[in-house]
Amino acid sequence: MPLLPINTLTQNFSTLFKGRSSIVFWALLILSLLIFILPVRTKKGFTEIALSFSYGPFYSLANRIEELHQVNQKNRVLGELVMKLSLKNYQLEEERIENMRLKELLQFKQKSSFELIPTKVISIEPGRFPISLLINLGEKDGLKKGMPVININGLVGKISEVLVGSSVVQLLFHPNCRVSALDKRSRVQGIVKSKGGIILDLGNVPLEEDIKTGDEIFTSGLGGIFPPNLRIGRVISVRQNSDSAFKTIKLKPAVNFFQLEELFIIKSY
Amino acid sequence: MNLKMPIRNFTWSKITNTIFLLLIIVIYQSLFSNLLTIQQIKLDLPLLILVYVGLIYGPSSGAIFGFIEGLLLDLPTPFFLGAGALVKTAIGYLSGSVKDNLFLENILSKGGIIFLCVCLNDFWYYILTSGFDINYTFFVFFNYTILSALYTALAGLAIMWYKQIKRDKKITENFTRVYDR
Repeated sequence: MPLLPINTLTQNFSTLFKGRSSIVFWALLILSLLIFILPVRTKKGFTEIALSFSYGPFYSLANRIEELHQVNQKNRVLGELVMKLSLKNYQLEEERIENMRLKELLQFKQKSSFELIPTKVISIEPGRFPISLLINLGEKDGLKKGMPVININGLVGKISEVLVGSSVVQLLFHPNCRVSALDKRSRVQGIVKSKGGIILDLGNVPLEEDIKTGDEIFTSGLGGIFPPNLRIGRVISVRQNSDSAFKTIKLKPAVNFFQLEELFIIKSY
Repeated sequence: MNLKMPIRNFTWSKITNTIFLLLIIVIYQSLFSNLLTIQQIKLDLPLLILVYVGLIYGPSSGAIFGFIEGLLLDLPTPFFLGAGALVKTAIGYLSGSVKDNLFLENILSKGGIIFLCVCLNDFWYYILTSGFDINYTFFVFFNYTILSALYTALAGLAIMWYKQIKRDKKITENFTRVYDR
């Protein structure tokens, strides 16, 4: 069977315009024609009212959806922008802090009476608290074993090993580190050492000596390794043991050993 | 909804069906028309519905539905109000007459009817609205109308195939149920 039997169509074509349905058709056709030839002003008045009832709600819905879509897109673009700017802001903030720190270091270097070599920490020995770290200068930079290491807050430690391009710094927390020290107020002398942990001990201070909580402890320079008048820490507790000839004195270090970045090596004093 | 009710039985369900179909047309024209337009080739869903109404209900219903639909589609362009109604009345009547005069069990035949109706609709509409500018009408016809007609016919075929597959499946399921008993 053909899809569209043309002969049947032509045979029945004459019947298309006969019967009751053709009257409806012609009537509607004439009505449409009359509407089509109406003046535009008349048609406008009718369509405006009809539009507001038929398409109006859906047009406003479509506009709302479009607006939402645009807002969503804008939101995404702004979100990306905020992320980029936040990152940039973070970088700038980091640079500002570094700049301030470097400025402070420069001022410190200019004020200091020592011959200082600035250096950067490149690695810290992992552990519960730091006992040694690696700096970016070594033998080729003129570093030698035993050179004192400081930062703007005070004594950090000394160089314990010198490699070609880097060196190991033994910090005050290291169990083998000993520093001869004195109380700035009473000039009482002792030896600073670590018993493990982030608190230092000031030992070899006889019971009758005058040491109080809050006293500042500095290097005495008597040991021969560290120059005098480098800040070590502050006394946070003083105890007298009846079974010992010495006081038990605890110090809080002046340097924050968990935030070491830029250091100075004292070349000569 | 019972869409296969004869035109002579003018019942409330018929009015509801008509309103429902007109609502679909309005929603489609306002919200989805642009979404389904590919490279300026639009899917003529209103015409697809009109042909469907004509083929199901016959020439009178086709003409009435075409008239109302045409007026509704003419509303956004008041200058041409009546042109769409004129053309669509004719298309609705013709598609309804095809139902009365042709054997249309074959889906492809229906697809061909849809294609022809879109072509006729657009040709007549552009002739009327361009002030009988034949060159312009043929330019639009060969550049857009034929592709749009093809797109609409394919969409119509897809819907009809889907309905047929669903119907066949239902019939097969019923047979299986009888056999199992």
